[in-house]
Amino acid sequence: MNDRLTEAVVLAAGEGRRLRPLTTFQPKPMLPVANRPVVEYVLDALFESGIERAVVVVGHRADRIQSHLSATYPDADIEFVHQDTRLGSGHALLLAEELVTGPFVVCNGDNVIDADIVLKALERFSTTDSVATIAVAESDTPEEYGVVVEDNGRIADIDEHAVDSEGYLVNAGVYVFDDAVFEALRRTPPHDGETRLPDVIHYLDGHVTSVLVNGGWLDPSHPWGLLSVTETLLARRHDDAVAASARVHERALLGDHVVVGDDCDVGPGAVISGGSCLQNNVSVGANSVIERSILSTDARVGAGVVLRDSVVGPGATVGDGVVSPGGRADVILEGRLYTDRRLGSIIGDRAEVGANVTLTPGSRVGAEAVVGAGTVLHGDVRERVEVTH
Amino acid sequence: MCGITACIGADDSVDSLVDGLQRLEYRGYDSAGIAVKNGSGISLTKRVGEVSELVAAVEQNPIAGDYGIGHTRWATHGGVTDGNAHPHTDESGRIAVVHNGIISNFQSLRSDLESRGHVFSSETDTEVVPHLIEENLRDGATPEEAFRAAVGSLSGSYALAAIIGDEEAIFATRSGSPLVLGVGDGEYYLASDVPAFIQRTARVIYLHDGDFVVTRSDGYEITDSAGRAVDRPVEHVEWDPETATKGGYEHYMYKEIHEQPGALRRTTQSRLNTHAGGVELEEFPPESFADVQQVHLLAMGTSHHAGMYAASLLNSRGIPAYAFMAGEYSVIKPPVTPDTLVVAVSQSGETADTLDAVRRARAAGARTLAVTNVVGSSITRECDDELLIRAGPEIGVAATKTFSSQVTALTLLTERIVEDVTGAKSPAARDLMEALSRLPGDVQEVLDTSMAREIAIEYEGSDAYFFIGRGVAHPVALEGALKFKEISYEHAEGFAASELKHGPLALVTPLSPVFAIFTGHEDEATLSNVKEVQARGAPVIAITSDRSGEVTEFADHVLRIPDTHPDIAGVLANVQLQLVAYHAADLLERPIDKPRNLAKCVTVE
Repeated sequence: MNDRLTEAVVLAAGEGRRLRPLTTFQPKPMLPVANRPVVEYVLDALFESGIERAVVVVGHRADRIQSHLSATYPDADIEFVHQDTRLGSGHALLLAEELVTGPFVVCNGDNVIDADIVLKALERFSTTDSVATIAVAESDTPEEYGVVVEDNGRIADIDEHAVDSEGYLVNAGVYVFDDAVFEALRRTPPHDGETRLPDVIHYLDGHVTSVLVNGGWLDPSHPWGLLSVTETLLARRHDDAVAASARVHERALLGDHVVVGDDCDVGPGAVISGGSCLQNNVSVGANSVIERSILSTDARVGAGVVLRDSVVGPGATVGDGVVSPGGRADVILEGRLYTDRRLGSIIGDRAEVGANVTLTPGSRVGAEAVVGAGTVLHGDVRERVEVTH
Repeated sequence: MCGITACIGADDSVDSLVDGLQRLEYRGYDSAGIAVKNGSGISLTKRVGEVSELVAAVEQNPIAGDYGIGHTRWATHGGVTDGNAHPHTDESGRIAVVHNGIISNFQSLRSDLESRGHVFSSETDTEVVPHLIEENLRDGATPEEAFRAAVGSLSGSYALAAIIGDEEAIFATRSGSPLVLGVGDGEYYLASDVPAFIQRTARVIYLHDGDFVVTRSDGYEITDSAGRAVDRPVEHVEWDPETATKGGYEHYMYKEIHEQPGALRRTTQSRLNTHAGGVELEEFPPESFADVQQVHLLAMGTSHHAGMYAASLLNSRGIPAYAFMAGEYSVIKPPVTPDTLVVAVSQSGETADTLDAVRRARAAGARTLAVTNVVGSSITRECDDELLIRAGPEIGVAATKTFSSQVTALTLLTERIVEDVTGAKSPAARDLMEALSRLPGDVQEVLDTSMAREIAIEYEGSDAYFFIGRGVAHPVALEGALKFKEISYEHAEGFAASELKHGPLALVTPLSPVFAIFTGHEDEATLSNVKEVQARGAPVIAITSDRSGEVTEFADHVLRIPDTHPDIAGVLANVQLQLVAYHAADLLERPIDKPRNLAKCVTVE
């Protein structure tokens, strides 16, 4: 344990089904928060904390991650491994076995983390007699995560399906393991066909320690999380918010804590307010109001549109006069009901929403779906479906 | 077409040379070799085959040296043999030379040298150089004088690097072939292209024709042919490191196909004004082309197809435009006036045929403009102006993203020219700018949804593959066929759709699938051509944005593209055809990034 630890495995193969329809064509680690894909925060944190080599396990829509990372980190030592079938995060880590020599860091490619978390986990691992260290964070919605049950600073269990949880510590998805993890993973039984990485703690011989990290860990795993994480990160930013190549009409109003990416075009009278981000090449028509919303690359938003707490996917078109008023909604994701969440609507990649459509809170438009003019939409429109009223 | 490397001052000269050669393999891979100088003289290792053969040879019989030169070859003079592989030496083995280009007077030089008793051990043009140097040394010249004198007797095109006797230096020069100098910290590199040393230094000097360089471990001197010092700026190269990896893809070509949305964003960045419905080219403010009467587009290969595409757009907007193969331009000698704008299109900016054509056009009084991907390349120095396509480095021998970026950059240029010449934006400008703004996302949609692999599987084993289109889809048909033949080695031909019944229809059978490209312009006419081939039993694959109409009804298969402006639909159709070619070649297990007999940029005529 005298050698400095310089290798990491990033688990980025998941589908992100709770974030559908945004993950139909994009892998979850590529979803933008504050105009940067989540996986960039992860790699920045790793490289800043002294990691020199990252093995990225990719699966769903792998080409998006590969193209993006090789262009964004041209000098970095990044290797890709493909997980072609959905066999779980534990299986994903096993795929990296030949490419790393322990101990090494493992982290989820779809949580925002900072270097501090990685450094804390490394320190705890190296100063205790442990076979694994897991970063944990406090959460006020522990039921959305794997709840960590602790016993004197050691982890006794991680319950991925805690419903009525008394604990409030959750798995932040940053681990340090030594080589023994691979053998233990082979002994870890799958659940519903998937070998889950957190389950491995029961099959490791030795102590599994935890380290509490707060602040730097943000999880955009649910649609409302994507919005709130973006809002949090934008509030922390102090650098230039509007790209040089963007055109913002002199009579448009940009609030604090917004970002406008390359080649965006914001028309006269438009109001973009706090917590909103326009990725690249987005256009917003005259007199539209965008509040606490994410407009992805190539999104086209017409004139007189109101979008609150909403996400518009890449290449989607939002017609004139569309209203997504935002507010609170009850949402079912992957068969589980989440009540009273702050969420407007979600519009999938390249979907077309016609003029004067009303998108009620919690409604979702599938990728490449078409919603006819004037429709009042409740609930979900499936992928590539055409809806008229 | 070959690649050369050299290094001095690095701790690991052999690794540096071999590593550089691997990154230059796109320039040639018939054979490779290195020569390094150590206390006991020059150690030479060369092997027929890819650079990996050389790597294996060096691993088996390690050699060491303080400085040296390397070469990866694409044969022009002399067959592919160990003997013809570079570096070449004189009889004593004390002088070693690597060369990219063609020495056109080597026959006469060789017979003179032979008559004076020199014994040649290869069939190459290059070998005259070490013998010439050796003669000059014998006459009492210093190594540098001997090198200069030898180069002085050469005609043709060349980039040369040499190590001579015990002088701890590398001598190099260029004339008509590329050569760049990498400036590290007490380490210096020479190479045909920047990727060879980019991992070691990003500080680069682009040498000019006629420059001589002497590098030692403590610095470098650049002089002109008369020996006067010349000052060349050290530039910082930003984007080349990307060339280092395939980013998790099996082939560079597939990676580059998937990089197209990003490449096109860079091509169009800050250049589109969708509000005003026009272009804003920093390099060419309004009125830049007010005097232009006609446009000649010069290029070869894929770039020529981009040139044809642009000529079609210009003609349809009332500007006389002609696309020439650059290699033919010098032969045909079309009339050129001072108000002729000559646009030279070359991905690398080093294409010998295109450079030669540009020089002739300039000598005849034309205004010249380079459209290229490579900053500081030869063509940017030969032309009056340049427009960069900003596609990022392309390593796959089969050009993909650079075609998309070339067409897009040329479309922007076309709008500037039309506006300047006619005094008004073209009627299509506004819609076209919006379409260009959506193009990166549209290309992403094609990548997300393409059924190209299924089509490639369906038609594997056909006798031939034909591609047809009209207007801008004609060059796309030619490009689709070129891509298909160059990487799959299957017979593929592209035709203007109207040309079919004037001959090529005789080739059409049930075993020759026809790819028909529909752009939304003149689709009815292309549809009647489709019916002609279907009547001969050939299966038809339509590339179209049509969702429910007649085209879809008649085609056996459809490769869908997003609905866009007809002038730019060809770019989207081409992406589908890139994918078809890729998958067809992949099914046949072809070496996709390194097709036989081809090289990335052709620096010989």
